[in-house]
Amino acid sequence: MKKILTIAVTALLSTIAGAAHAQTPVNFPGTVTSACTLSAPVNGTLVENATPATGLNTGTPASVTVTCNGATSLDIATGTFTYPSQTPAPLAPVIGFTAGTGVFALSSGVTASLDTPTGNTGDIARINAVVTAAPTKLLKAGPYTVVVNATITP
Amino acid sequence: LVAAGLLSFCDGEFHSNQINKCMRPTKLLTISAIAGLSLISYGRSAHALPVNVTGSVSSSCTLAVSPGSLFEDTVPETVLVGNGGNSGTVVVTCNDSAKRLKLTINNAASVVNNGIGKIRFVGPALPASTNGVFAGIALPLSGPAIDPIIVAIANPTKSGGDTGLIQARIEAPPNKLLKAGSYNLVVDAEITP
Repeated sequence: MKKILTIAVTALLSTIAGAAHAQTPVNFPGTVTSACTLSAPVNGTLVENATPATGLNTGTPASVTVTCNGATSLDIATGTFTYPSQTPAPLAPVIGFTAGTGVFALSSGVTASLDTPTGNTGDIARINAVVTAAPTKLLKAGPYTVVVNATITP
Repeated sequence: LVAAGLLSFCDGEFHSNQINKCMRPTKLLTISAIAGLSLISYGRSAHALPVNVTGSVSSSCTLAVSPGSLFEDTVPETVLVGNGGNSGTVVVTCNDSAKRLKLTINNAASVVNNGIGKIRFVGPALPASTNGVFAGIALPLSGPAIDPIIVAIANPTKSGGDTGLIQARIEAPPNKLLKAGSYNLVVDAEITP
């Protein structure tokens, strides 16, 4: 009787073990490709801070649209700065993000995080620029242009 | 800007004809300049998109003057002089290099009796806080008097204005004394186009 019991228990364990091996996982692997697009650049405007002007402030911010799901940041840097020849020259322009849409709603400084994916039609990053005359000086009359390069850092 | 775009194209994936463009940067430069960089995508490398912020500063020029005074410089009196601390001053606030400061003796309003009025414009070297664009100017530096005196404003002045001095003198005719009486040399200061 004891031997029969032993055989029965052994058989039961073998059955359980066999059932566990039958639970094979079924996976659905996939990958989202990192893609980022900078598009729709819109030029901004500068307005005089006084008459006569010692500086130019942002009237309407410039903007770019970013559609991105896998980058580190959107960075901006001053490219060329053109202005009427004058001595002393104006100070280097100061640029920075200002409130945009989506992931850029709270952006400031010159680096905006892209850790979070943007909206599927893109989020708008807005950019300010400020031009200032040399200390105590006026800005010379004429046109001023600040070119800002927006760069996506993977 | 275009150079950044060029770098982007060369770093990314592209077809063989684009490789040729990368090997010929001058051509790509032209193509990019014509087409404009309105959209940039990336796979693995950073890409830049330029955007402009533009504006203009309008022309603005103003001046303010304060009077000088004349004192007897010689005995017997052959000349009245207004210089040094007796100079008139003109403070110019201007951002337009196309403008000029013009100083003209107003003969109709002046009282010089038998004398001859003369003026000179000087930009004091010091103090630097006020001299600005006129520093070191002396018109005329020497020789015959100039009337009117035209002073260039080559660069923007300080926002509070730059100061120049108007020196004046009334000279008696050769070998003559100045007639006793009151004198007043009037100088018109204006900004001209």
